[in-house]
Amino acid sequence: MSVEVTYRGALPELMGVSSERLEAGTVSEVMAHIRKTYPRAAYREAKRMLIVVNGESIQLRQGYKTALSEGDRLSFLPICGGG
Amino acid sequence: MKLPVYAKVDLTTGRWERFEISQEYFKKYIGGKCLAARLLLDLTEPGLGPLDERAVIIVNTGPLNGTGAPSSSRFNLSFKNVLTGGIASSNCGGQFGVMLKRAGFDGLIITGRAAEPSVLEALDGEIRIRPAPELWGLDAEKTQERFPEWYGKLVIGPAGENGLLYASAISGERVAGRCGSGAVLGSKKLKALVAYGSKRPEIYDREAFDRFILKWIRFIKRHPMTGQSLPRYGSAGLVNKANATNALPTKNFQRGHFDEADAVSGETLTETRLIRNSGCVSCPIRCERRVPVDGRELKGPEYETLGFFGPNIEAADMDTVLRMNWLCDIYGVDTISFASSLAFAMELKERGMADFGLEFGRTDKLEDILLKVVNREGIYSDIADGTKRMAAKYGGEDFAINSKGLELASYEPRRSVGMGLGYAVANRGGCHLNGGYLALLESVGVLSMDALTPKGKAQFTAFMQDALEAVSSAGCCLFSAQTFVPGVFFKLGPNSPVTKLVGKVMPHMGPMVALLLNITPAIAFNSLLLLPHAEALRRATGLRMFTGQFLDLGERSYNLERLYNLREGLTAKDDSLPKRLTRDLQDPSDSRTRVPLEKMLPVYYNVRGWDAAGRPTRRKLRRLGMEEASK
Ligand code: SF4
Repeated sequence: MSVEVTYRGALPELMGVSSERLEAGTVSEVMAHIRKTYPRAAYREAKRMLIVVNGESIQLRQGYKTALSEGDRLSFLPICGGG
Repeated sequence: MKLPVYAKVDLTTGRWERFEISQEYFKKYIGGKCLAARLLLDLTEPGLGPLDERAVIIVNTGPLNGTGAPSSSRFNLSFKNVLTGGIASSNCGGQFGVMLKRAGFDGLIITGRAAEPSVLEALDGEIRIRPAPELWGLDAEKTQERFPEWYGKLVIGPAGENGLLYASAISGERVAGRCGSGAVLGSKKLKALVAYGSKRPEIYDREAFDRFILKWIRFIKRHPMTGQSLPRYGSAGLVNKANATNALPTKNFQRGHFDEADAVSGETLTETRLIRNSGCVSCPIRCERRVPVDGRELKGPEYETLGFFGPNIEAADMDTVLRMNWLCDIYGVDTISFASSLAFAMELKERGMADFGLEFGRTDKLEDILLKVVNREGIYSDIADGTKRMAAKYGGEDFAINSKGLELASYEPRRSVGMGLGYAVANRGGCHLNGGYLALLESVGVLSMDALTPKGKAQFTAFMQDALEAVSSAGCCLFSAQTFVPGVFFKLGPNSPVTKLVGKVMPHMGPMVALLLNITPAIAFNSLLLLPHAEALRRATGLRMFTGQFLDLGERSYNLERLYNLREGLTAKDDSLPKRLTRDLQDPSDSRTRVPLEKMLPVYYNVRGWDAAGRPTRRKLRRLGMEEASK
């Protein structure tokens, strides 16, 4: 599946890219791509972030096992607070 | 131990007197909103209207204000809530509180009505009321410019003068937004309060206090939430997170997700507009956004303002949000209640029930309409009264998004049902913070306690409410309490098995949390990790203040405010939410996507030690040492 991934927060600086198009069937595969392609710090940071598929958190789906479909949009977002 | 000194001011006669808080009251109620609730119960007669000449407004501080403790410039305003008729407390981060203390006063108790627009000056231990008709009509910015820069100021804008029920009061660029403090001050013809002095707050054990404060500041700076996330994104960072869990109010709470929300998100604000971050005096967190508006550097919007001038009116225009945020601040208008009333007006139009010229998705007329509302022009005067009164006139109670009359904050409770309980029971009406802010544990934080189960929510709500009440009464910002979620979870991330497991276990921890609230005398220790404010209070005042006593302080505050509401005629029936949230499913295919209030309320009353009608029992009040407060 070809999916569009957007990196926010500290990731663009750590990776040198802010978005890319990838072939991936699950969120786990996207994580594996990040681990393989980018510095360790980027992978560590990505693991701490909120991962959103088509606007919905993967926490509401199957976590890293969430299946991806052609054209899906993934975002890595920082965890925030306040109120 | 130095006891707090207040000034009791009567604007009708122009007289004032010093008013020393008794040792008993200081020990039990400490300061801020807790002490203010007790004073309101003592000093006001039941049934008085919020804008009555004899109504009282208390502007006060807590023991930590101005001491250099982190995030300790927040001061409090308590008064009869203009929107709900119950209690109001409103917190503000401007310089006024710190300067009031420096002027030699821990608080002001203000009653009466001045014959003409006036200024209250608290300068070096003296109070003076002086006429200032020339200030009437000026916006909050221009009003403040008329006073020396070094003064602490608290002013109202035209909205307060014209009696918008949700008019705010402004100190610097910080706002006491909710519940209509601006309308109360306006009704008293008090355009501005200013304070200045050179007194340093007395500290019981200065050396130990300073040592502890340094440790606490280091802890705040190292914590991922207060050291990284809040400084970088402010509360604005919650937009995308709430959207990702369907908890972002969209189209007057019809939905919890807006496809274009990213355009008004904290990330977009940081990436495209942020000039720098800033903050209230003595705050190491510095969550304030500095952004360009009309070629000037001004304060940026909070999460609520982004949500309400964005997705909740189906709009996604960042520049509009920035401008509306600024205009509301200088006119003295609460952004939440105003923008929520706009969304309600838009839905009325959509359903053909009323036409204010407002439509979902259109932002071109907002500025114009804000002015008309501020000036109470024609039908726009109805918008100035908020959603509850609009619904009484035009219908639509089921989708008028308020509780007790105060508009809800920007968390869709059908995806955060504990937050729904909090909104319903919050003493000041539909407020997330006064409601215990369970959204942070359910839908927008790093932990994800099952957002749809009623299980455990009553207990966590009571616990969080007590903790937040105490932090506020001490004189600190509630954001400083966000370190209670251990930093390790932010390091692990929301998708780690450990974080997920904790989220799964939390709903089952209700009985444990309830037990904790019942054994507070045994919690005779303080920890940086839980509520460091208790230790700072202990060292600042010399009082026996451990985490258990600190939670008791919060519980006292919560019960006092409840007693005030009951005295003013609010009942368990008012612990409610509009039917859209309790009856209509947010996701028709998921029967859990509504707020099951009927299941949570009885448990909550029980945990609180209240009877079935939501009244604090004699036993509860005896335990809190304030049996006489219910008389
Ligand atoms: S965290 Fe933000 S609102 Fe709170 S005191 Fe600091 S700057 Fe002010």
